Amino acid sequence: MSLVATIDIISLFAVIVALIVLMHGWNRTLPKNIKLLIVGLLGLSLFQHISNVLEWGILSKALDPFEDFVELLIPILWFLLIYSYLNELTIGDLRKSEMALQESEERLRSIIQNVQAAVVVHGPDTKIIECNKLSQELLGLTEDQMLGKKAIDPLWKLFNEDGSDLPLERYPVNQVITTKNVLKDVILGIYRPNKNDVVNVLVNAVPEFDHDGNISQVIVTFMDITERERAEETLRESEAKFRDLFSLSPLPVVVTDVKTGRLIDVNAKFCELSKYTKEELLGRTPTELGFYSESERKRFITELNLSGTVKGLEFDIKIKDGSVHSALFFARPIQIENKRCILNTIYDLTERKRLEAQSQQIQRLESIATLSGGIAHEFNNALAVVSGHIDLLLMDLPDHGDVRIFGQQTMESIQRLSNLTNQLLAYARGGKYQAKSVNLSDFLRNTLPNIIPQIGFDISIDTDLPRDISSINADTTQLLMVISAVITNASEALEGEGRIRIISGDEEIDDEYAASRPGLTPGWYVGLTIKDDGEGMDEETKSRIFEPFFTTKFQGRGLGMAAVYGIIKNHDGYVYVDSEPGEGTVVRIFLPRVETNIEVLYG
Amino acid sequence: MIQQNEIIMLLLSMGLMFFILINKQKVKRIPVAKILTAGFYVLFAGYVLTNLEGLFGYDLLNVLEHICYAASSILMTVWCWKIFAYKKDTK
Repeated sequence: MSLVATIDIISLFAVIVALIVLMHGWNRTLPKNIKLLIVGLLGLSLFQHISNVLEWGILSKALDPFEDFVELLIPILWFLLIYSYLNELTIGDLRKSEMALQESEERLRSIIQNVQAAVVVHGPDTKIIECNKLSQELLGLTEDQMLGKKAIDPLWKLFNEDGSDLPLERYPVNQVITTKNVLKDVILGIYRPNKNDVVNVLVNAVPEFDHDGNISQVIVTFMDITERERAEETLRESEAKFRDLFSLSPLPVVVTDVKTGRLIDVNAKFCELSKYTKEELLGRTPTELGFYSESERKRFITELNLSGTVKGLEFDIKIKDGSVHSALFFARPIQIENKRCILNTIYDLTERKRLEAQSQQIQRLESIATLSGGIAHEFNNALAVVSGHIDLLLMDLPDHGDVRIFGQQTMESIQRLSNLTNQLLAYARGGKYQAKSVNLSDFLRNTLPNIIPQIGFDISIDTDLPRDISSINADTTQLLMVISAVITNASEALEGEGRIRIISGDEEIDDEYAASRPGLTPGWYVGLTIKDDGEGMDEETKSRIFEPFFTTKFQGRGLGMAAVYGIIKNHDGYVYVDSEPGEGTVVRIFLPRVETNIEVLYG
Repeated sequence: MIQQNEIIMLLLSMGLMFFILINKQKVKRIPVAKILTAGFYVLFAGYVLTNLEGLFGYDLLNVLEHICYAASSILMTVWCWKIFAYKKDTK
């Protein structure tokens, strides 16, 4: 047997094995046409190899006439096999793509149905082609009622945020189709026919394009924001309330950052207290501004850390003009825009303390007045007895030289003592009181010429005494004592040279002014103001000026101003002294005015 | 001497060769494509040799031609084995 025949036998054997394998695995998942083509190809190869074996084995040439034909079919079958395989792969790919597309569509539909927003998908003609359950619930419509409806359908009524009708061309789907742009965060109202109400929604609309760049669909999503808007409105109102409370608070209020200690916000009252503008305050720390010392700041922080709040911590604050105010601090932590802050409320005690001091001074004067009044009364009675007996003695022994001389000297001393007790009684409001209706301006005009010679020649007196003022009920003797004492005091303060100004007139005391003067009640008064441009008084002197026997002068008795105080109080009036060292003194007297004048003295 | 049907076979297989080349990426996706295409390439070589043997070196080229046919059949058998008898389902 030739070599070629042997090779052909091997080929034949291989093809037979291939056929057996194919038959054995016939049930394998392979398209039937491909299986048949493989069978055909193997069959033709089998025939070719048998023919070759017979031919080259010099056994028979019986198959030769068919061999050429079979050999031509083999490449054709190869082509068909590969072509069919490729075809099957393409079909498989298409099927896979189709399935993937279906899955994708299902997934998309599932997303649309389950997404937590109302979704409506419009076609390019605005017709609704898809809508999820939330959109149906929100609009109060069924799927059947929605699907196929166009934007022009009378079912829809859309409104602008301000409640006005939304024109058709401004409908979200129409806008997107016209502009081909995404529509974002538009707030609209949608009328719900089934519920007969309007729901506020936040609308977003996105166009989708086909391969030609035309809109294939518009996906509109919307969320019910009615509740959110209500909540926002409530929040806005709450913020406005807080803002009003903050800005209109009668107390100074400050918000500081916990971390940096810097001022975040201050109200007008705080600006008023500190004398700084808001711009000067914001962004700076209280210690930078010098409000309080580092030790006081530590005291404040310690208190806040220990108890969580600060309730009435008192310390002094230094304001822009350098003056020191006594203040009570109240503080508590608050949260503003996720930032930890401290809300500080400040109560300025300065005025209150001043009023308290004045009130205490008044009480002290009242006590001293009661005491000195009692003593002066008893002393006066005793003096009257002594004076009477001296008079009797002088009458019984008119010619006795020594008795007359000693008696007269004793009487002079008794007179001085009597004057002293009268002043004390005046201070104690226990003296004789014969009130008459008096025009204060006229009274001053008549009495000042008698008083002026008693003061220095280098002191000028300016007066402003209008005639048409209301009358007062006053004891003219005591009133003279008052004017004389005040002018004498003023002239002494001028130390022989200067100016005294005397002003009278009707004065209306309002609530605000009354609040700054302890005891003073609002209303109409006749006022007397005596100003001097002398050396003024310090706080200590001022606080004791009305005390009996208090004097800054070497020879003074210290009863003049005490008497003034007692007399004015006895006339239901008020007397106040304003003075600063080096800035002179102002004595203000307010006496109740008389509405109807029965008898006007000096009028 | 070159026979007419051998030239037709060569032309047909050349056409198939061209088809495979232009669909190279797709053909690669046929299971065990390397063995199947190798079987065809060897067969194509056999067709070339059968035409050349008519021009020169008949004895040698004839033996080589039949070796190519045998190799093609063996590769086809291996492909069938991989497709139909291999444990792992190639599908």
